[in-house]
Amino acid sequence: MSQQREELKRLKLESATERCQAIEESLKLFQGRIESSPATRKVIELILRAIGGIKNFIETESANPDLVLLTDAELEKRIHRVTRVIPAIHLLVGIVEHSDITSVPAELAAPLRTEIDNLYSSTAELIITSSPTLNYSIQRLARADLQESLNLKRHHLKGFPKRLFVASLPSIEYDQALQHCIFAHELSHPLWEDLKIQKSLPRLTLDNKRLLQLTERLGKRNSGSKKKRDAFKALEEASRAPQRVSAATLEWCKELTSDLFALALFGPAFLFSVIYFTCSFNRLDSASDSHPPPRLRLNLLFRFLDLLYTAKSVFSPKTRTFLNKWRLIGAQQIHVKEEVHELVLDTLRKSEISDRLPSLAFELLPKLRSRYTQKDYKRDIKVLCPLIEAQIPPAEYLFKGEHVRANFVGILNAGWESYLKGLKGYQAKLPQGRKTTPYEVKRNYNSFLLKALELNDAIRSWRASLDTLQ
Amino acid sequence: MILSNDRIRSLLLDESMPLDRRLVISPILNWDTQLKPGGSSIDVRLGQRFRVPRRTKIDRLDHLSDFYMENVEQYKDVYHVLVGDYFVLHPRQFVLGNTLEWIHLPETLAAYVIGRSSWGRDGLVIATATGVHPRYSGVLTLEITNLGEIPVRLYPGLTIAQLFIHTVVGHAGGKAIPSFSGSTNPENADAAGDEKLIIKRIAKDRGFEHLD
Repeated sequence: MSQQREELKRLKLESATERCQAIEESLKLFQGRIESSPATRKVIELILRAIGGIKNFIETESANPDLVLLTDAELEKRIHRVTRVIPAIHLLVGIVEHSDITSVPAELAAPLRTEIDNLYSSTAELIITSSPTLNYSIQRLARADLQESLNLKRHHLKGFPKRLFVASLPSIEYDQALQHCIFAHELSHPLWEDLKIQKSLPRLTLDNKRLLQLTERLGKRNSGSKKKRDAFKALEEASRAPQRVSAATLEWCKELTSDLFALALFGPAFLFSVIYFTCSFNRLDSASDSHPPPRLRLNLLFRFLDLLYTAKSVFSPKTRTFLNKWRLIGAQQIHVKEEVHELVLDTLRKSEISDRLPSLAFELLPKLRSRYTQKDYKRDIKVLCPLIEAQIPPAEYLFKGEHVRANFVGILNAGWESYLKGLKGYQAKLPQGRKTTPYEVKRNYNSFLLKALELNDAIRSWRASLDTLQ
Repeated sequence: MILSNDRIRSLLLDESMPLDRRLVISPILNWDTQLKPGGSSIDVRLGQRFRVPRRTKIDRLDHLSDFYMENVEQYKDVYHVLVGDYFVLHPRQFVLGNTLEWIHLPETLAAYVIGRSSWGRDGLVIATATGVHPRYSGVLTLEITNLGEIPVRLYPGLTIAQLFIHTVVGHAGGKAIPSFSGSTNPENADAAGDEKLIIKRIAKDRGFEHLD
């Protein structure tokens, strides 16, 4: 073997060894942590298994005399085939890094895992993690993809969930229970594929004339400019426009559909959290290729709400007034900034997708394994809100001499309903030191709701364990 | 008058009583073992949060300091231990824990928290500030110390203390809310309260210069 090839082999194997050692060292810091989900441990086991595979390979290759027979390119390829998984391992470490219960609310993790289980059966698991961005997101990791990206054999993933959801919440606001209802949107994303919604949508009607005009306009923008860079940019934008319109239309449909199913899963609590978090913080008409403007989301959510919540007395007068104000805000005309997004809006309108989506979601409701209905909402508001007003956690309620465990989603809905009503009763029962500012009251209230979720889960897990023993 | 277990049970299940005037202890995971027949107390379980002191640059806790609560926040870590897991309390270690149950007392009832003797025999002191006032609503903070010679594992969900409930004779002070009411987790509190200013004033008049 030439000296260069020997050097190439030495450094590649040494570098890979060091990367593996660094990952192992970082995982040591996770020992003794309390994870919010058992899936974190499963991911860590998988990482260690993948590292073990790389280390075995390095050990064998270091002593492999046949490597002299390979060319430089063949040698590189042979080593890279195994060490290419290291960046994927780094990503996985990043996923589990902030998933322990000092980073995420454990009170929420347990019931959300149960929701995932109800919705997608026991083939799915959830890890909640926090990140420094003011954003909620979800990643889906399929078992088959992990096997491929980590170079593992099928039997190595035995017992690993078929689908792993990694949901991320903003780290600074990790204790804001009400706001976390946004998660319902993230949990609903896989339904697009599962229920084959794309096939049920009407054919897309693209306004070709307008698209052509847009392409021409984009192409002409900056023409004659002395800056060549601008001219090229304009040409690139013009050529990408048709593809951007069709891709954004699809992405918006996915987002809007997830919103609708989230409303079916989490009830009005989801809509309230969208209004409070997404709409009140972001600009109502700001859109991107991946996300529709919040105003359009509101518009469709209200149309779907009207299909699901038909009873006149379902909302309290205060909540109804609040909803009506936001219904009007959502019904106003949308003024997006970019022409591409205007065209996407136009496509949705002309293809009647914005009209069709709420009714399509309504037709598909029986296919959901779990949902929260108007009847559930009415019951929960009736029995749980008075508990909240009396400062008793709505984890369970007394009915005909028996304690009935409340529904996790019901707690969040009752929580929102009482919050919208102004929390007068609740606030009156707080000592002066806990209500010096409105934010302090809200913080205490969110903590109170998290306590209700914790107690609710304690009842669930205790009874489940008792049933198993009996 | 201490309430018997039968009386506690009937109050807990009395739906006719308005919520404000209702006794609530939630959740009771096992009625038979927590409210033993013939007894006069209800067992309560260890909750999932612990506040643990850590070594910092803070040189003292001073209830007369304006920064008392800030100092307390800085010198304690909060651990969340899930049911099924455990927390190790080392000899002479002191932590704050809380009851798993939420306690809601009407204005006609007060309570005392006492450690269970089975834990006491392991050297564990469960609660020292044991009175719970009428109209209290929240989890109960437990001051837990291991006076024994070997570490003890604390499992959230195990019954750790017992609550003796008393009737309050006479009028229980208008609508005043107990100062710790609304507790969702174990917490410290500023003991000096309203008296802080008075004692500071006296100290100043007498020329003491030990205050911040």
